Order: sequence, then structure tokens, then C-alpha cells
Amino acid sequence: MYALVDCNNFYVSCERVFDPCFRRVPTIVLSNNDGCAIARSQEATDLGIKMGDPLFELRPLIDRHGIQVRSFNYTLYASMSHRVQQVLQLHAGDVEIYSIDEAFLDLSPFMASDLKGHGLRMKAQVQQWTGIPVGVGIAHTKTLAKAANHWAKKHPDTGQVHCFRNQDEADDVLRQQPVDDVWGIGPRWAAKLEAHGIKTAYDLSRMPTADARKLMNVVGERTVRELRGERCGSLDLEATTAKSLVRSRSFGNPVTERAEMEAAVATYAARACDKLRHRGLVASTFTVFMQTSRFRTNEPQRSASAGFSVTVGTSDTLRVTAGALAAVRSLWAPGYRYAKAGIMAAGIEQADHRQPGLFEPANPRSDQLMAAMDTINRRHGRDTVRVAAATLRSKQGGWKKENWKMKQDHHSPQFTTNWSELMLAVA
Amino acid sequence: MAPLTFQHIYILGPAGRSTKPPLHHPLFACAVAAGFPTPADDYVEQELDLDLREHLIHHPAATFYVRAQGDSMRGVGIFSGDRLVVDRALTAADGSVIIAVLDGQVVCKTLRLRTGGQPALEAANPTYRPIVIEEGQDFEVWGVVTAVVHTLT
Repeated sequence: MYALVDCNNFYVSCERVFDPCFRRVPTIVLSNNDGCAIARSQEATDLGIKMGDPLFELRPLIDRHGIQVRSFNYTLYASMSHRVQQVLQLHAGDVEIYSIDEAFLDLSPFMASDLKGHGLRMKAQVQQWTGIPVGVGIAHTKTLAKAANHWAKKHPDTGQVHCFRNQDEADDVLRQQPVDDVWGIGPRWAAKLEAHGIKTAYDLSRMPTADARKLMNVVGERTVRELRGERCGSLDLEATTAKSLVRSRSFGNPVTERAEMEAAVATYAARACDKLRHRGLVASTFTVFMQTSRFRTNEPQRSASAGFSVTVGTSDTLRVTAGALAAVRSLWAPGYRYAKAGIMAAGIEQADHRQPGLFEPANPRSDQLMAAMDTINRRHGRDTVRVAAATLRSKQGGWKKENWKMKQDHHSPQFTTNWSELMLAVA
Repeated sequence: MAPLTFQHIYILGPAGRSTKPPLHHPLFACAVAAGFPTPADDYVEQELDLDLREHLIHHPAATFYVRAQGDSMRGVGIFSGDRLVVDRALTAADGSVIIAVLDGQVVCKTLRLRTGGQPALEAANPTYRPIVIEEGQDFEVWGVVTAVVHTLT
């Protein structure tokens, strides 16, 4: 049996663990750049706030109802997600991390026990250990586990845990679920299916596989078979080494000066190298790109990129920054309002496995410098030590306010990853 | 040949799940006569990892660090600014030092559970009076404080 465990309103829930005073207050979390609402508490949803509503449109509602607003705090969410996963590992054989707030669990080591009870205990332990509320669906296939999970979420009398112990129990629920609720069935296929008289998930499960394959594709056919209780595929357990890694952001304010662009790209280069080192990886090809906003159609449009490569894979911030800056200089064209830039690292391999070049000896000093930088930044906060190119000096010699940095006016502290930002308790 | 002496080395086991390197303190069991391997070498195979986290953290997924602010818990050795190790996996009992949420505020107090009476939060400082938790009041145990990190420098 598989369980699908997903966290309720994950980003909001993370924020509420450490800021309990707004547990019953409508809360939203904003996307990168504080653009729009990407997470809503139930109270916020009840006020009519929809996924993707832009912040500026929500201002009157926010002021009138005292809605709590938070910027996207990825570090916090990633750290909490990891904790939830650790608790789930105690209750399952294999675990597939499907997304930051969802996981599939293989419950075969626990088949002898009462699976609903198992699900309830798991939910209670996640709640106690991490403060994050979750819903659990248990069934013979992943698609059915998703359906069970939806059912559990919509029916509080299940305790937010529901198990299809056999296909009959699954069918009873599938008859009550619309076809577009099924995992893997998007609005386009749902419309096609409904045109063919297939309205419920149960109807879909009864569809002949040949028809399913013709109407949708092999993925749709797999969904139909899974709804019937036939497993197509198992847990995806390999954390694949990324083939490429991108670090980019949309700018808070458009960039028009080369110096600003250099500072931004240097910062992204540093971040990309941080990530490579953190995962024990190196890369041999880097591409810098920059573009104007495609939404501002009245402004001149430009999208450009330039790459550079190294003979031996590297994660050395200084080297990559130097290459990135050269790329910016070669790419730069004035007269545009750039809305976004970034760096992509490719040709990624494990640092231990890289082949030393014939003409490039290993550079232990660089490794030591990177290690020292990482240690200081980990202890005192990101960017405590950084490459000078990643900052901006004005002509007078002072530091310019970095206008291109992402807007995050409502950022909560890094409660779990920064010693100077711990939750406070009044003693 | 000098007699071999042995020290008992207790291998505490691997450090908790973490990407940070453990603190290493290699230990040698005894003087080694040159060129002659000793049975004691088997005990020196692993470096002894003295990692404070292993001593302090028993449920990594449920353990958080919280900073104390205020004087009311000096009696148990918690001073303002200290970092508290808080374990959410433990069940709070009478006398546990806890982090609690009371009317939306995060506090650090000693929990008092009285049979047949309302629970209360006590300070460890005679100038502070206990807070009795009323029926239906917004109260929740956030976690149990298991250790205090009080740095002297």
C-alpha cells in the first residue's frame, strides 16, 4: 500500500509554527518579489483571496481585515520540509519526496497493522514534532492514494486520514469525485473526457485502456489503470543529480546600468557556486543570460546570453564570478530595462569524480578559501563574506542601495538556519 | 618489551544526521612498540567523535533552538539571551521547563500539573507569581526545554 502525505497550506503552516499569534488570523504568503499570493490560510481563502492575486490588488482587503502578509521564506520552508520527511521516514519503508510539501510512502513493512490507525499516528507525530498539519491518503496505487487524500481533506470526520482498504472502497469514493480532480488529469483532458460522457473518476476508471490511450496518451492510460487498482510504476527514489542548475531572479526594479547588472550577476554566480559546493558538485559550463520584461510590450525587448567553460569542473566563486563578469561585459547593451538575469551551470559532475586537466593542477588554496567563506557565511548569515563584484560602489565610494535585489518586505526570520534569528521566548 | 596498557574507549556512535563535519579527537590507546602492531590498534580504528549535538539532541527532526528573553527563569539556570534546546517530541510533565504559547505569546516557564486543578505556569524566580491557565484559555505546549546553552564569553 502507498500513502500520500501532504502538508496543509504548507508555507503558511511553517510561518505559524514560529509566529503563533496569528494562528487564527487570515494569512498569505507572497511569491518571489512580493508579487502575488501563492499560499493562503483557510481564513484568507474564505475572504475570497485567490491563488495568484497580485499584492497591490489585495491591499484594501489586507488593511480592512488585518491579514498577515509574509514574503517567501524558502530557507525556512526547505528546512521544515526536511524535518517532516525525517518523521515520515520513521513510519514507512521507502519514501519518495514528490515536492516540498508532499511525499509518497511505501507502507509494505506495515501491512499487518491497521493502516488507518498507522496514518493517524503518523499525522499526530508530524504535528507534535514539527507543528505542521498534514493529510494522509492510503491505497494500493499512487493515483488512488491521491484520491484518498483529497477525500480525507474534504471530510474532516476522517480525521484527515483515509484509507481505501480494497477496490470497492476506492470505487465508492471515485463515484463522488469529478474527473478533473484526478491526479494527472488537467483541464484540457477533463474537458475532452466530459465531452465523451466521462464525468466522474469512477467513469474514468471504467474506460477501456485503448480508448484512454487514444483520447489522452500513454500517461492518461496509466492513470486509468491506476484508478482500477493496477500499479503502473513504483516510488521514484533516485535523487537525480541535476543536469544543470540555474540561479536567477526577476529584478525588484528594472536594471539599466551595467554596474548594477554586474553586481546582480556576480551575486547569482556566488549563489550557484554555493549550491554546487553544498552538494559536492562542480560544473564546467556556465551561461549568463539577461532579458527585458515580456509584459512591457511598449518597451524595447532584448534577450541575450553568453557562455564560458572551464576545462576542469569548478565551484570556485572567484573563477566563476570572473567569467560571469566578462560575459556581462560582452553582452551588455544599454538602452534596455532588464527585468531578469541569471546564470546557468551545466556539465555538472561530482567533485570527487572530476578529471584533473593536463595543464591545470588541482588548486588546494582555492578549496581552502571556499571552505573558509562557506564556514563564515553559514555561521553569520549569507553574504557576510562575498566577492567585491557582488556589491555596488557609487562614484562617491559609498555602497549603493541594491535596487535590483528582490523585494521581500515581509520576510520572516530564518528561525531554523540562522543563530541570530531564533524564535524568542519570554522567560 | 614494555607491558601493553589499555584504556577503555567507548565508541559513542556516529554523529546525528548532518552535513556538518563532527569534531574529531583522535585518541591513542597506549604506547606502541615500534614495528609491532598491538591488539589495541583495533580500538583506535575509528576516531572518537565527541559531538555535543549527540549529547544534547535526541530527536533531530523535533529539536529547535529558541532564545530566552527575560529573567524569570534564572532559578533553573536560564538567563536572558541564552539559547535553549527545545524538543517537541517529549511529553511535558509536571515540573518540565517548557516553551508554551499563551494567548498567542511564546513564553518559557515551568509547567505545573495539579491533580484535580488547573495547570499553571511558574517562573523560577520568587518575584514572579504563577499564572494559572483558565479553562478554554488559548494555551499550548510548544516543546520541552532539555538544555540551556549559556556562554560565558
